[in-house]
Amino acid sequence: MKISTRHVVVIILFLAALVFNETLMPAIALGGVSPNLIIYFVIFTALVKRPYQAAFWGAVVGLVEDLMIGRYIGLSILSYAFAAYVIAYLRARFYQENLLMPLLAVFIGSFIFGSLYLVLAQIIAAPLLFTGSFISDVLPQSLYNTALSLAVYVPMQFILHRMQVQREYKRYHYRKYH
Amino acid sequence: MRKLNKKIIIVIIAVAVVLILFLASATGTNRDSISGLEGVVRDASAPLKGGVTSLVGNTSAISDNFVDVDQLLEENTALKERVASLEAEVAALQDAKRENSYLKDLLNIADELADWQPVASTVVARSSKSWYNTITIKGGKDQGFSKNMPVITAEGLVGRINLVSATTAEVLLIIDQECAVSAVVQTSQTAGVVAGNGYNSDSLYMIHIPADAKISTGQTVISSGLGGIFPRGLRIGYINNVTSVQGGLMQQATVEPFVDFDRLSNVLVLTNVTQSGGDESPVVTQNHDEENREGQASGIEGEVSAR
Repeated sequence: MKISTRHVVVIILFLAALVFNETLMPAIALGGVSPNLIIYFVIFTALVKRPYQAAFWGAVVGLVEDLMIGRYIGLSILSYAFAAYVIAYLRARFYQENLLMPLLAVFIGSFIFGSLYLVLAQIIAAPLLFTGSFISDVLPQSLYNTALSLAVYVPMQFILHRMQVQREYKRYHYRKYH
Repeated sequence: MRKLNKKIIIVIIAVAVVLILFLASATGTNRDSISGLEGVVRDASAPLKGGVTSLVGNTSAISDNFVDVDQLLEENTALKERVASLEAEVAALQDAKRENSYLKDLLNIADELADWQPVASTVVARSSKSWYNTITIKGGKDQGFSKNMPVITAEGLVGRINLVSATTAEVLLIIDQECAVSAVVQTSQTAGVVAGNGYNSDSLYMIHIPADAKISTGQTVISSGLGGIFPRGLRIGYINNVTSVQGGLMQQATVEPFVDFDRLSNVLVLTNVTQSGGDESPVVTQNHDEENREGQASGIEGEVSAR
């Protein structure tokens, strides 16, 4: 597989999100709830991939996050993979080209991710209290992610769109002069 | 053929899910060490995280300077009053210190902290999961840090080291649901266990308090030293609510920690030092496992495995 500039930019953005998630995001926490930058990668990837591909990339992202957290390795893998699968599945059936779609996808994806993580943590580690954590963590974080997604989605789409335009421009010039 | 392939895929996914769940259950907070891959990921990202955390800290410090001048004047007056009252308190405390020293000798209480060597460290990151209360600090095996070493600030107890890589250490905060500290109420010496409250809260609760124990709001809770992980006398917080539980057989208290966990930047890691005698440098004890097993076996301190 040829690694393009687009891949490099996506990897850099992903690494930045991993770092910012543990440094910058706690600084903008509201009521102890900080947004999850990683979920944007999972959701935005799921919006352009097939369900199984989306689940695969969700699992990869989850693995990296799990390795950084170092606690109950595997919960993020399963949760991101499932959330990505559902989003990609829903996108294939109900997709509409408007701004509401990614916002809704972020909310549903965050909600599925948080809920599944909590259920799995409940099975694996008894101390996590389901109802309390659901009300104080999962729901507010899903809302926060959705609210912040505008600020993340628009620049991200701008960068990716610009790169797409540049790539097509280069292709056009290549075809024209060769 | 297509149907068979689908069945095979489902079986593979099911096996993978089961294996991942086994992996998850094996990588809880009771691990002694981290894998090489985790170490590489943590150590590689630590400088970046440290840089961003420092930048975020500096930015918030700058924005803090732009506070209202009236507020500063009020604060200045209040601080002046506080300095005056503290000066009087210092004089009284100096007398109390002399008396305390005499009583300590009398009661044969060893100065627990004298056996510990504090090593300064800075916070580089916080857990991205809001229900895991952990921080990552600079310094790991290179600084002689090891699992279960207590972490404190000037305000009080922060937590204990949970995982160590070559250059970083993860600290399990006392507000985490899986951290428990054997504690006593300072004035009445009532014993109990302080644990994280969960629910995305920075407050703690103290359990296993006998129903007849005389405790009230405002009293200070300190570590008891039982369990072998935390030395005696580390300030934890103050009681802000007492309730009766288990049909009046026991009491439970909500404890407000002295440490502001949202603003942690510099911490001290208490490494256990044994003097090897002569002019030799102190030797940092790398392993507390024997003590920890003892503490955890008694169920007093360490991890809360089930609630």
